[in-house]
Amino acid sequence: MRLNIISEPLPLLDNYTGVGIGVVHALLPIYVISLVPICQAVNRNLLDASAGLGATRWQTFWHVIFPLTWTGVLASMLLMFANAIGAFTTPALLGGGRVLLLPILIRERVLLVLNWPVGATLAALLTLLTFLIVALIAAATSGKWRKERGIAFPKGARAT
Amino acid sequence: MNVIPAEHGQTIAPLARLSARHTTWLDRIDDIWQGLYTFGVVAGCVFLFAPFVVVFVISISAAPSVEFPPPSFTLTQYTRIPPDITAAFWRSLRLGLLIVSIDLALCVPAAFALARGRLPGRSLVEAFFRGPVQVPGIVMAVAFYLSYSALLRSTGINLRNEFAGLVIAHVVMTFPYMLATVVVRLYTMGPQLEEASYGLGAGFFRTMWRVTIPQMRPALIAGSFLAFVISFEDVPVALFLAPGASTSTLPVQMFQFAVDSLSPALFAAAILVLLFSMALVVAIELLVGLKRVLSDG
Repeated sequence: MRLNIISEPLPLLDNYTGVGIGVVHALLPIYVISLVPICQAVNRNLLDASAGLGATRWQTFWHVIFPLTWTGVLASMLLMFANAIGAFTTPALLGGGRVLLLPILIRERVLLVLNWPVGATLAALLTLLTFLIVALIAAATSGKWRKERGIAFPKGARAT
Repeated sequence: MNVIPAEHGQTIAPLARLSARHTTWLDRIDDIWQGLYTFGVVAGCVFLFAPFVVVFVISISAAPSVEFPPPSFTLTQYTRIPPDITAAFWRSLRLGLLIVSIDLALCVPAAFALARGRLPGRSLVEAFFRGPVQVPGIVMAVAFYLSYSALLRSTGINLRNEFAGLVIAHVVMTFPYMLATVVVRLYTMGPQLEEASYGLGAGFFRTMWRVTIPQMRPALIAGSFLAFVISFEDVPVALFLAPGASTSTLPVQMFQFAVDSLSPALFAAAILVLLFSMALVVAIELLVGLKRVLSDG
């Protein structure tokens, strides 16, 4: 992760787009890995049955795969959202201190401006936001859905 | 189901689709879908690998500053890696191994208490220990930074810019991952084999060493790997707690070089670190299988 971050400043330095691409780059593999068990949980016989009944691949996706996986995918997306708002390294390097995302702002307040109360408040806010998202994920993957579809709480990741 | 034409609903569809006569617009959508799929896979691979290619190309550049594409190529950049980075690498390695040992010493008893013991409010305790996983790294960094500052002011003990402070913070960060992996393993393996061992007359330590630990080994290796990687690649916490050149870890040192003085030698160092990480991943794959590491925790 660290490695490709260094390569990125060349074309898209110091702007929001560049930071966005960098964070997507850092999170994409984690997202895909978190989707693998969700897709594996789909019973293969259902796909065969769908094809046997004459459905095209698009119809199979829309009527079979999507209804079975969307809660898990949603949970993964929320998890990536939580990771993205807490991302520090990628925005710090690619943004050059000029793209003021919450983590960058926190660092600036605490280490450079030495305004600890504001920094602490922002950090608490970020924690609150993250926990809110985690609660949403827990709701999306809990109880009935989890039992029916075998979807587990997606693995946490901190790679940015 | 308005999209299925009658012929598909009534005949054996896969056979019908084999003959060109029966090609419908739905099959054409399938072709487009297939094309998009292939394109997406290729584009995704390029997106993921292009930055590494750029890093590698610059690492063999002969230019004194970072240029892309470089004018000519040489391997001398690999001999110009700043000594600060080499020192930071060994420091990171030492830190990672220390974190793993402390985590193991703490986690195994804790996991036993959680999985086998009769703790009141066990799920609450478990949720509490899982907490740090979800806290963003930067928040963790601020929390430790302010705590250490308060500690310094009230007791005079300095943990800022100290190896010990970094060790404490990283143990807190990595502990939940290790714990989760080990607890899951303890739940799934069950106490039967240990009970059998006791029943056959083995003592506690003998059972632990010959029965329990061998059974737990994959989880211990997987947890150690996670803990090591998290400690080894952490930037925000190490940046707050140990920014000085004599205490900083490898990622922090590279971060600071990238911000202050970008040079092709840094890219050479990056390639070496990449090789190290890949060797680590291959070793884990051979030892326990990467899938297990990624699914258990």
